[in-house]
Amino acid sequence: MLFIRQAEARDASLLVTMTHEFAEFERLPVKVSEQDLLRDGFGPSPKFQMLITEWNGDPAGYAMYFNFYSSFEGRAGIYLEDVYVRRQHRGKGIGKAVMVHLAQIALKENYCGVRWQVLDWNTPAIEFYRKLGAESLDDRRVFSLHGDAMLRVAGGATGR
Amino acid sequence: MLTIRAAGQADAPLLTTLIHELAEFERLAHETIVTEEDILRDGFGPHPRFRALIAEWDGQPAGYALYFDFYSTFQGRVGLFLEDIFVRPQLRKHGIGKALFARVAAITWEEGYFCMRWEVLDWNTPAIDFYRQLGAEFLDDWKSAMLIGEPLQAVAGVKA
Repeated sequence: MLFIRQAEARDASLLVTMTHEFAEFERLPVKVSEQDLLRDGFGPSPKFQMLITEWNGDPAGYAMYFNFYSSFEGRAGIYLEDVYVRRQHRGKGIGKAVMVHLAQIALKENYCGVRWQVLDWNTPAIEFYRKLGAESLDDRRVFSLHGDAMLRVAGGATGR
Repeated sequence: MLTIRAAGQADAPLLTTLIHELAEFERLAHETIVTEEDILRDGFGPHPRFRALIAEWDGQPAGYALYFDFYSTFQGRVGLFLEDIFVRPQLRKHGIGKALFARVAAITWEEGYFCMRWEVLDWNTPAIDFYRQLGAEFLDDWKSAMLIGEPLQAVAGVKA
């Protein structure tokens, strides 16, 4: 049976393990530690919220989200950064249950919606989101500025 | 001459106007319902959901940037999400966009964010070229998605 609960500080080690599993699946680098999650998620001003899914008491996956702001809507929304189900627990409707849970939070809190990103090679995930009725923001491209390039651009503002 | 300053409560009407101008430029005016009250409540109340910068050219409002925090579980760090950046069409070609962008990058650096992230509409070629020149990494394999309106209610199990 499936159970979805809010993650707590005592889950930090489990969450780090599952984050690493998820990064491996997404073929992405990962360096998060337990201290990072404790500091940023379970301190006085949490930067994110996490859900843990359990299948018959066994940790089956997690979701991490935070608020974004839609200036066009004039309302906050849920930005779903991670949603992960462990391999051995796939095909049981757990991912769907997480999306339902988040959609319910969004409506209850009067948020404008739920937004997320997906890797374009992850066809099963894209199909899954399409079936939920999600709008694919096909005309959007995502950028990131970090490291040296960020410093260089920042220098333009401060004269460094 | 250009000045860039943090937006305050008194800027709520101006910010609302500028957001509607950006929406028109992005051909999303029909979806844009933000009001001055929304901006006051969500940007300048006890728990601000975003921060904004105002650019002025010879004392005249020329554009704005709006951003908030995001979180990367894989990095275990907070990042800055730039939701909007806009320069009024009649004031372009003065380097205002670049200066505004550089100020946001400087905030990203000075406040210890690990990166800044944003999205761009794929038909906005001048913007894409501009970001490339700045050294931004183009996250080609990510697609954005959103659950909003009736599909959101459907997933939540609420009747429209």
